[in-house]
Amino acid sequence: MELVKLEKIRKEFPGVVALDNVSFSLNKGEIHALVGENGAGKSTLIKILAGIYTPTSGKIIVKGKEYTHLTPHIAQNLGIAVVHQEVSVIDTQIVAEALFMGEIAQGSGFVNWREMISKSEKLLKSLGLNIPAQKKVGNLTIAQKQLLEIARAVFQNADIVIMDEPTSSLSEAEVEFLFKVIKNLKDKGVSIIYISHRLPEVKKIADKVTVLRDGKVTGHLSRNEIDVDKIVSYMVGRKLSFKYGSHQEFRQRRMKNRKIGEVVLKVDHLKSGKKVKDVSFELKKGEILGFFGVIGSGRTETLKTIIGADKKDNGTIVLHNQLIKFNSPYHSVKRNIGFVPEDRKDEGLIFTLNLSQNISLPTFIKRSIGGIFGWIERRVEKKIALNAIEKLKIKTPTIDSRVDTLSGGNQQKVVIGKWLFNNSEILILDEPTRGIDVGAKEEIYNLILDLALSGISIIFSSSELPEILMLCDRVAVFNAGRTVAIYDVDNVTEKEILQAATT
Amino acid sequence: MKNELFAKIWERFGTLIILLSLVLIVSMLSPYFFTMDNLLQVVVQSSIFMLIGMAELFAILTAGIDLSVGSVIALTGAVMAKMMSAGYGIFTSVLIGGIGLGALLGSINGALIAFTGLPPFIITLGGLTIYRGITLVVTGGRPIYNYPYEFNMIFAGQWKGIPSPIIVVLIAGIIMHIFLKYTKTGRNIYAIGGNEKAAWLSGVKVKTHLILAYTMSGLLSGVAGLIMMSRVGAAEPLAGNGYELFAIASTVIGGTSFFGGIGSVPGTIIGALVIGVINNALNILNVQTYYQQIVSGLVIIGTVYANKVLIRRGEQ
Repeated sequence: MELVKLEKIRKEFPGVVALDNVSFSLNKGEIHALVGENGAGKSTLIKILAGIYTPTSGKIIVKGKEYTHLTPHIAQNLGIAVVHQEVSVIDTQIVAEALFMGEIAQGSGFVNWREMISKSEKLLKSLGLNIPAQKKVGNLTIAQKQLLEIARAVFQNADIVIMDEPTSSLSEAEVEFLFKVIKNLKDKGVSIIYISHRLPEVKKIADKVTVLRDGKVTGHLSRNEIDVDKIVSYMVGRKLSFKYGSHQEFRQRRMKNRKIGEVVLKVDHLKSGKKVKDVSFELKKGEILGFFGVIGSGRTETLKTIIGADKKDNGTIVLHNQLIKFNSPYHSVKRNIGFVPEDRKDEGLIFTLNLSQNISLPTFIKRSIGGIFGWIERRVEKKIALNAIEKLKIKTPTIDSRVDTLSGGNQQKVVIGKWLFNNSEILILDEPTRGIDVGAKEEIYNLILDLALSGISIIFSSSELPEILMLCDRVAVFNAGRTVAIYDVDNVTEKEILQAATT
Repeated sequence: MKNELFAKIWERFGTLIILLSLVLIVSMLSPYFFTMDNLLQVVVQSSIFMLIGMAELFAILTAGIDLSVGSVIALTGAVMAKMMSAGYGIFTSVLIGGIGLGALLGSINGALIAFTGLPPFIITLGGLTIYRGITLVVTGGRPIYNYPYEFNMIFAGQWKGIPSPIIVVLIAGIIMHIFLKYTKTGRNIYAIGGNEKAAWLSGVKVKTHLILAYTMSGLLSGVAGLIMMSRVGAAEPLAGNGYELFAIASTVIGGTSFFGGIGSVPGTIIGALVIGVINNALNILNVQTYYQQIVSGLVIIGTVYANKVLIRRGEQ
């Protein structure tokens, strides 16, 4: 039975057509994956279903009723719920409150805590989730928060659940658990639209796959036709320079002519706060050093301590044979160290500034023009922006466009672009390809290699082992705040690395 | 597509449209409004709001707020008057007791905000009360009249036919506008208001810029203090009482966002004029003073709401 049908949907924004003649249908109890590069139109489509956007033309048919557009209210009444990529729960609430969000007052107007908690516990149990209803949301792990969001959707009697990149913050074990929960939902008759860049996962869980590219549907596959390479070719429309998942070829072709020099950065027994217990490593000139570990292993905190964003409690950091003490990121920026944070929306971009203003910010901090009241030369600002846009192939209407309307991949490119003009000597990237599609990932990998070839030393922190194996010369494995091993990527097995990271 | 175009126009010229509409409406309601004399009066009467509006702009741009602007007006006035009556020259008194003192008072706010991390609302609320208290001490609770009359003539008089307050505002406005829009420091202030964390990670010295923003706020309030004194003809202990509201209203009507990172000097000046026009109109139309506040309040809410709705609609 067709639950949702989108017919010939077209959505225009100023200067761009986000969706063109898109048709999509979802059957009851079906897990339908929606894939495509960033900017292909996936999140636009989802926002139309959620009632946040209004289509320029086309029909929306939900449970037999026809609409020209939805509103969030109508969507909710129709049983549509969205579980977002970036977890948006309120840390100060307890689990039961989060589930009941919006429905708390019961009859007499007073909050009936006992009933709330018992109902919550029943729900959580029925979904197989081992989360205490009285626990504070802020104390849950990211994985648990994600599951909480799904539970909330179910609680609000959603039978059409849209999941946007639900596994981007989860470890392998947590992903397995999530899939169990999803299959559980499917058995209960809930239909799911599953958006993800992780194609092997899509292959595992989806009944159907719809592929979008540049706002159009370019492919539609059902269960037995699902093949990762086929999906990729529909998504990208061109041959990739690396076979998805196979890194040897990429390394061989791109890794020749590499010159790795002397040690530029040496960190010894770094300790900071609760998350960084004992970290030591060396970074050589022109090298790409990987940081690998599960989420929460202390990589981000280590990087933040190095650039001066977190306070160092103990240990030494030596840059070019000089002992350094950075009190704030200002100092590391001045010393030509670039930092691309994990959370681009929260820490990487300033939405009230436009594209060229964002990109040029760190460069202007450094260039000493006229002292503290230094004049901003528009000519220079343009140069910086154009340089980044060209090198990173950032898709944007103009160099002064807003950044909040860019796709995730393009936003990430802007954040990386901040450091390109800067004569950065060291570039630190924290999970730079999280939530980014294959095409943009490839562009970023190539860029990182080009930078390394030109003599820049790179620290690449990631929880995706394949990209570490493909891109890095050596890898420092993190486990609970310590660097437990440092391997030469060409001389180690995946198994060894995983073992070091998880035991 | 029409919505987007409209939103863009409103974003740039919204406040101006409101001002011109008001002028049009009032001109139709009374023949006394649209005369050279009266219009000039409106601008002069709005000059203090323009200055403290700009002061507030600096604070709100950083996603903060400055509640002490009114008290700084009073304290700088009192100190300048005392200095002049003690024999210091006008120039010295203005520089040290007016602009210098204003900047100092602002920098104290800024430093406390930057280093204690306490909310600007609380810190500048403290400033409001403490600076007012010091003013009462310095003035002994009474207005100070005995300073050279020249002072009033210079700052409340005219220069080549143009009222001095307007000249002062123009100079201050141009300098501050250039500072905010065309220098790195100004850009950094916008960045901090837009996303303090991202700005910090990009290398912006957040603490320094916060202190600077509040120093500017104090400085501009000091300038407002000297205009106020010259127009009243005395340094009054309760000068500027409650003026923080007009400051905030001016800059918010002028398009400044309470969340930080959005706002401009031209917008603020037009916003101050809107308030000036309303006050002037209500006087000409013989509306009781009580209603003036109600009308002002409604205009503020209306403007901010219009900004929200019209700009939002364009984004859909």
